[in-house]
Amino acid sequence: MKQRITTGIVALLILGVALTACKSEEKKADQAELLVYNQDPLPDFKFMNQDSQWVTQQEVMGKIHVMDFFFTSCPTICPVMKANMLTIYEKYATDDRVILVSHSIDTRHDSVPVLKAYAERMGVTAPRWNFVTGDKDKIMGMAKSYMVTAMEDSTEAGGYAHSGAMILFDRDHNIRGFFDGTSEEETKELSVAMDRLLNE
Amino acid sequence: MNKATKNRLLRLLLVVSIPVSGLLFILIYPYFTGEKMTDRKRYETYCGNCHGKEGQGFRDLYPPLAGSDYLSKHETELPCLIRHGLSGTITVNGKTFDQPMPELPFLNPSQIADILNFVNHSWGNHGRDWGEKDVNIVLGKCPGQARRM
Repeated sequence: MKQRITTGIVALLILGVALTACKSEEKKADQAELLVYNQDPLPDFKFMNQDSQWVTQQEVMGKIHVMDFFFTSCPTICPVMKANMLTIYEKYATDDRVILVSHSIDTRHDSVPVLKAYAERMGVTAPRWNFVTGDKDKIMGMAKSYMVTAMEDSTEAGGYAHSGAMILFDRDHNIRGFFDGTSEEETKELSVAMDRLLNE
Repeated sequence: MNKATKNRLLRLLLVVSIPVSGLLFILIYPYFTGEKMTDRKRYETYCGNCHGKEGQGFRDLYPPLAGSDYLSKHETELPCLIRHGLSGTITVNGKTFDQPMPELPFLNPSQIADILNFVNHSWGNHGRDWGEKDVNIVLGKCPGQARRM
């Protein structure tokens, strides 16, 4: 009997230690340094959103911003990326310190009215969440300066290959993190990181 | 039979039954879950990104498959729809949707039947059962690709 009680206590202790370890691990991720990824200032840009308004570096400066690359007829990762980004949009829907920019890489098909309809069907409005289009080479070039992939690829479903990354920028338009837009887990991490940048 | 033999027999039975039932469990387990997992996996791979893991759809962009009246109203068109996709406006449960659905030309009739049966018997749906042969017959009569419906 006595032995059993001892075993029970030891087991509980081990469990306790294990749980604390997990918690401190979580804390660590929470306090991980959000490094600046780009060495030089990022290039200027000027794209048009779903309301025919220009979105430029001046619009995003002073705000925590998140950007990604997609196209409206993308059947693979985009719907999942958009569903995850929508949780971010809903969290900061009335927060003027935050701005989201989704670049269409299918500039031939995704005109301003197409982007407008897409945003409306998702229940999303500018200026919090901007769906932008513009010169294709310039959009692909921006992806490159943000260190993510976006290119035409006829072997891919929909005709384009692109990264599913959500790129986090601070108020000075420096890249502070990359999060997988297809992962619910990383979307939560993005939201934590955004809160930290907001308090920076 | 005396008591001692009876006890020995019982013990033997117990000792033998444990590994035997274990083996049976291992053999039968994939039969019950494996088959279903494959169908779900296939659905999630080809359909779930847009229509949702539980067929719930996504806002007004992608229509739901769970409780969708489109499935019964367009029952016989579904194999062609999966293989050739569709474009244009459709109405599902009174709401209009206007996103193109991509074609999946590499799916064979048996795989299309599996997807249809998974959708037709998930999330409270009670649609018809599709066999590989039925799908094949319908696919032979599909109208032009990516048509407007």
